[in-house]
Amino acid sequence: MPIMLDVGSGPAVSDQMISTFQQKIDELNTFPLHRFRVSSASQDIDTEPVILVKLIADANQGSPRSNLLPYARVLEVYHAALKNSLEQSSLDSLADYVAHQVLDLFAEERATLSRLIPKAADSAISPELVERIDRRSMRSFKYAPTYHLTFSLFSGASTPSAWDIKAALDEYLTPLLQSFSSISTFTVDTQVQLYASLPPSMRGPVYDSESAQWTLEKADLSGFVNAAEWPLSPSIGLGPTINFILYAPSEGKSPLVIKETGGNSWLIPQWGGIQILNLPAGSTSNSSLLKQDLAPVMHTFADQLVSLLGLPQSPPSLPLRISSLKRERAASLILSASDTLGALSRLSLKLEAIAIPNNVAASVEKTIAHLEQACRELHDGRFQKALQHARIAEGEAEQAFFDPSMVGQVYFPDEHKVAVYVPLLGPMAVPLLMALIKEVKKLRRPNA
Amino acid sequence: MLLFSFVLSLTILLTSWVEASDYHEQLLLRPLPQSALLAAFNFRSNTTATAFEEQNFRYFPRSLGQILQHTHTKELHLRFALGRWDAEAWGARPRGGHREGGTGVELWAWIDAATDEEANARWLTLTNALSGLFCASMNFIDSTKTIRPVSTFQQEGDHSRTSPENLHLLHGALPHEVVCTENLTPFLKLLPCKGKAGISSLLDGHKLFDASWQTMAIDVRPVCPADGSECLLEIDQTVDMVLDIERSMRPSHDPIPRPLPIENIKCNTSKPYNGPDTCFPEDQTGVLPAWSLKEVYGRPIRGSCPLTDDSAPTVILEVPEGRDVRGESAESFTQSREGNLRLYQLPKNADFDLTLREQSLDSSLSLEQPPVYASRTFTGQGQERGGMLAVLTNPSPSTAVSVIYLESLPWFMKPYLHTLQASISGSDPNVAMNPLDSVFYRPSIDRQRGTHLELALTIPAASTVTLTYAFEKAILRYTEYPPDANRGFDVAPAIIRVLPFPSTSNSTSLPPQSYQEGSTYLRTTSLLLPLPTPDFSMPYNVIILTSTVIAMGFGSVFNLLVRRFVGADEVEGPGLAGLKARVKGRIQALLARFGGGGEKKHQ
Amino acid sequence: MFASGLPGEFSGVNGVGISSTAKPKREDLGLTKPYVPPLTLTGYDNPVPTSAGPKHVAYIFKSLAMKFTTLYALLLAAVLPYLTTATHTSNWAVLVSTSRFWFNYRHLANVLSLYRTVKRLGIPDSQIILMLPDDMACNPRNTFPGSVFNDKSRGLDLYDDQGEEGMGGIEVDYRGYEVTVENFIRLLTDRWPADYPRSKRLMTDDRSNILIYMTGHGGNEFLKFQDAEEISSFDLADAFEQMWEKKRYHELLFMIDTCQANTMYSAFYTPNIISTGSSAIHQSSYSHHADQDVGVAVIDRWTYYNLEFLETQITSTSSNVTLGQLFDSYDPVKVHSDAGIRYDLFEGGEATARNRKVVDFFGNVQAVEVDGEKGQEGSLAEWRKDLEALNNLIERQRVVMNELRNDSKPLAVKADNDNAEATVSPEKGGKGLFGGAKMVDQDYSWAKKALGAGALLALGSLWGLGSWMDR
Repeated sequence: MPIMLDVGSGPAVSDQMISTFQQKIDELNTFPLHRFRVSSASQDIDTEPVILVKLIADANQGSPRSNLLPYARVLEVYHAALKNSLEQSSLDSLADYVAHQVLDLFAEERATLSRLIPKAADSAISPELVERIDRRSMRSFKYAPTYHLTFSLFSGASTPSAWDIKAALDEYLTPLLQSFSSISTFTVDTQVQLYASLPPSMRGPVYDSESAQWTLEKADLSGFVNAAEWPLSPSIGLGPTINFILYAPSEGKSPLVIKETGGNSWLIPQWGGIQILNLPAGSTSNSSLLKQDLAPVMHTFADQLVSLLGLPQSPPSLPLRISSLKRERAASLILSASDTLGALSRLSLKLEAIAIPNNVAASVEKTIAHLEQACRELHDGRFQKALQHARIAEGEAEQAFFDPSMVGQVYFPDEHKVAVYVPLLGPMAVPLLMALIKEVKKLRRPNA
Repeated sequence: MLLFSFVLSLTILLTSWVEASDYHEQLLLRPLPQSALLAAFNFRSNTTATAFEEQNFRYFPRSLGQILQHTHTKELHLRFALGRWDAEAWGARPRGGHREGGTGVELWAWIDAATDEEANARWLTLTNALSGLFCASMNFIDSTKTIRPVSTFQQEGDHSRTSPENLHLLHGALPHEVVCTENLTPFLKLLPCKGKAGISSLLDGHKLFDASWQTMAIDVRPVCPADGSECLLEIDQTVDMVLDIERSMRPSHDPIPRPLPIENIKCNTSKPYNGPDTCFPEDQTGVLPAWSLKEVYGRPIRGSCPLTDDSAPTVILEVPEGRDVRGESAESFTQSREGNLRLYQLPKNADFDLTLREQSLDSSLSLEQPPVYASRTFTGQGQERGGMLAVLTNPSPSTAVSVIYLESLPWFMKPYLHTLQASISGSDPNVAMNPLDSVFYRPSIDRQRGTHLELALTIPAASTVTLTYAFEKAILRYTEYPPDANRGFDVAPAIIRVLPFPSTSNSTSLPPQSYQEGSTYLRTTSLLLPLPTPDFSMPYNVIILTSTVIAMGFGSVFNLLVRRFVGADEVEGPGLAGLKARVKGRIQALLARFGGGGEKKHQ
Repeated sequence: MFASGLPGEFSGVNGVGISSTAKPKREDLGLTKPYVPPLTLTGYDNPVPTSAGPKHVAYIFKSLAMKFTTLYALLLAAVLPYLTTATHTSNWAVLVSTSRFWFNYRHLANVLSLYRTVKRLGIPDSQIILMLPDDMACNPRNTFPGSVFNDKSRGLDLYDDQGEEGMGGIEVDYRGYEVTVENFIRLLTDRWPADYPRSKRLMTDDRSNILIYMTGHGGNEFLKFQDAEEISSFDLADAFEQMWEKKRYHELLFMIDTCQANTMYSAFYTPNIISTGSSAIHQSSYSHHADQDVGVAVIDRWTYYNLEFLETQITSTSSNVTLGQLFDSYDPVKVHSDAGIRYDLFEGGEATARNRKVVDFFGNVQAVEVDGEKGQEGSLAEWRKDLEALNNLIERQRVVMNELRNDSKPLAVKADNDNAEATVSPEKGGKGLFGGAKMVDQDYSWAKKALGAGALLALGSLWGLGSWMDR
């Protein structure tokens, strides 16, 4: 999987520098799915580079150091000033350092892709990384082109009864959603529910007199959501629903925290996140939550949303993580689309009774076409288009497999067929058979 | 009528206070003759149009709101109903019949769509989505059960912001649908207080579905205030029921009616045989029974829903002035009286109960007379054809009444429009007019759509209009019969809209759209149509019969055809005579051996 | 989600055999080629005909199948060690009653009792599919309106929506005529037309444990649906096979209470299914007792003893009672028939299956990840700075996206199923079907009658003329 680097720096970038970097990276990179292509910033290339490495000459620097900008795809490398002669050895050492830094950035992506496609694993991955990736995959939602986010305020009593959620969402969450817009779109809706009671099967908050707080055991948290009474029906439309619940306990049960950690928020994998709002004692009289009150709430929700969407935790730059997620999702979509096609083919061979309509064949063709295109785009480094093609391929494959007219019913076991036809054909067959035998005997007997 | 209009004006007043509170609930109780009780619950909440567009829901339920947005439904009316309203005993229907539904499930909606096909597609999406939300099989409402009524329904909301040609009215009904607790559960989940507090805490499946007549209604409509401020979307949930007091007071663990012990029966002492063990029960018609909310519903009202407006009375009881009523609660509550109405506001956190004791009063409530009495039956016999008979009676002695009569018939019931006859019989024999003003008709197409029949009639004062038409029944295919086919097929009730202005006898046709307020609605009962039902074991029978015929017949016929027949004496070879001869020969040989041996010895 | 293995290979590769009582009617796919294409995701090495018409579909399938199955054989080999330790992340229950009419009250009581148990142990309504073909609670023949009982003591009302706090009421997903074989198979294989409501679909994935309970009247390898149609055990096995292919379940517990119930699961051949039935072949299942006031039998024996075990032994969602203990509690003397259990399809065989906890299928698992301590003002200020930076980033991205969109116009990559709006399909509701009613001209004038009579006369004379000329 080729990734492009762009080496832009102050003084003139020579071809020698580029070729050295390319060589070094190719030497160090053993992951078969990643292929790096280094080019200069001044060159005009048709695809956006994944990362831009800026070489900044700093006379005071001894050994080089690097700095990754958290909101841009830029890795700044401060190095000692190169002499004008650009001798090979210093260039080599710099290239070596830069190559190592770049490869470190993509370590988690390598690990994730190795888990996805074990054949392509290169070196052994550390078990903590493996565990982290597994936990992330168990926690996050499967990829969908549209996610529905539902923000709910459940009050144990009658206050707070309103919240300025629209403004809070616009200010705090919409930027994050828009930065994800290249991967999926989101629809958001909110609701308020008063007199929301906790489920009776839960052991209930226990008053802890030392800290003067009500506490919940960690074991209780899994039963916290009162699915029987809280209106948490999934949103209409395609795509999964991610629920975010803000629970404001009644005055008698406030403040409410989790016993073991003292925190007030938790995440339910593949479902959503929950937060308990503990307003300070005096202000529970106000019935409406303002935007300022909702700021820390939105912060937690944003963090939870990011982990529910499966965003990797490293490298520390958000655009790099999003592009890494894009590649991971594209790969997983391609795999899942091919998986579905394989399942469909196996099914068609195993269950002959199912009739497969023509539109399924058309969908299969479309899937294959889009899969090919997706692979090509991945090869060329156009990841956005690869994701789009992979998405369409997945959608078509699912449509082909789940076509509503392929209901394999009406199975007639052979015993039934025998039971129906033998009483009909048997009495017909017996005289015919006897007559046949007689004729044969007559033919055989020499004419007297 | 005056009383009800007062209540109506009260509710209208409440709607104008939308800034104060967005949620209102009210319960009206009215004891009816013959020990019946009408309980009319109403819950109303609203949301602003912008909040609705942005999907920020507060009192308006989110699940329903998303369905309405997704299908571009501007106004929705959904009804679940059971039972029959006894108009002779109970008078006019509550709320003018605006919140009544036909037996089973009835749904009509105004859908915003550019073309007819789009409207149909959105309608199908709407029925599917509602079937998932309300646990009812509304996905069966497809093109065979949908009609577009012309003038029977009027928009209740303000649709000035949508262009009228884009609003399509579609109506579907499922008369065979069962209404039970699983339909009540999602209904209660739409309420903000969820049936935990306030009057909704009385709603219980055991009593609600044991009623003589009940309707659950959900109406969503846009309301645009006159001053041009923002439009609101209002959801109005109504549960109206008529309970039989004695039946409801039976304990739930032992509801089987048993005779009272003789000590508890009031005996008619004028009878000659009256004694300690013989009793003729006294006539109790003038006596108003004793009942209380706790006994009738099995539970008192649990506090008040804190979201409601405090100033409006929540429980209104309509009883004659002399009736002895006591409200009981651990906390204090406000009560007042206005004529025949007793108004109560519920206490915040304590249970509230209303108790009435047994009384015989001279005065009784005057019940509003319905404008039209309607009934409908099938006539004829046999499995091929039948007839429909609808009888509409105008009880009023002075004013004529105009009605619109709507029927949506299934495709397998094919009416012949040329047999449609409307005749008047009544007090004035000189009136020879044709009561039928106009007919809107759309014929059925087999297996695709049903018949839509809409008639505009004028019924003169104190007369009865009898509508008849003949129809033919179709034979369905083997796979189209339901699993309980011998029960028959349900035909949806006829919907009758009584137009407000009295018409003169000269008018021949009435413009239907010009009346906005004042119509009342009533529905007849649904009907059960017996269709020719095959014997479903026939495939098995056919197999057995055919096999038997083949077994017995084929062999003989085949032999007749194929075998060559010759005389018995022409045949050589092993025949019966030959066999006998051989056996005889053998016996003779044996005898000869023994006899010969004997003879030899003798010699 | 990536670590689960490959469906079809289990029968051959893993060594989990199919029991000898199953009828292996399907041939294996015949995975022979060990050729592995290099995994560069850059395209296929084997040429695939691009202009494939419908007749080429089979070829496409075959080539794809070979390609992918070999790929997956390796995937499987690589991920096999991870499979046995994967646990489930959600629980679903499909509770089906298949009989109609008042005298089959006990079948609905069976299903409603299980429904109550499953809800008590935590599975929410959104993850339970309940299919009731008839209505007993609001049936006019029911002496106790709105109630369904499973015991003659009538202590527990199965239809009570508010009696027990937090039960949340009854939600029936499929009622009445909707309970058909076709709908059941569609439910299992998730083959619905678009816009089908989510609450009526089985939205499971490869980490869901499903409990399927069926009851009604059945026989040797079939189950009768509503007295009108039947589902055979082979159809059910095929439906499970399709579920397995599409990775729609992790483990499945199949319980069935009908006559000759054990024959119903004899045809299963997909892995990870534990099945149990109430009676063996040529045996009937009996009802337990009747309620004299309700007038019919109210519960079946096998279900009664199952419920007794579940009510007494499993009192909380964290109970450790195993399936083996549940199965051991079946006593043929009490149940009056030989209840059977089938373990061989389960990975690990009888030992592992018996060690599974009952709440793995009857209860709801919901893992929870507690967030760490949230910092106070400091992190908030940081976060606001982050937000500003994010806003700038978005602006730049928007520019890039616009460019990309302009680039990609000729490629037409717009996803077809992206809109959340109601899709308009012109096939639905054709023009003539929903058209409105027209006003009927009630002009019964003489002109029309004269015209009709005249036409009839003309045609009759024409016919007479023709036959006279024919002579």
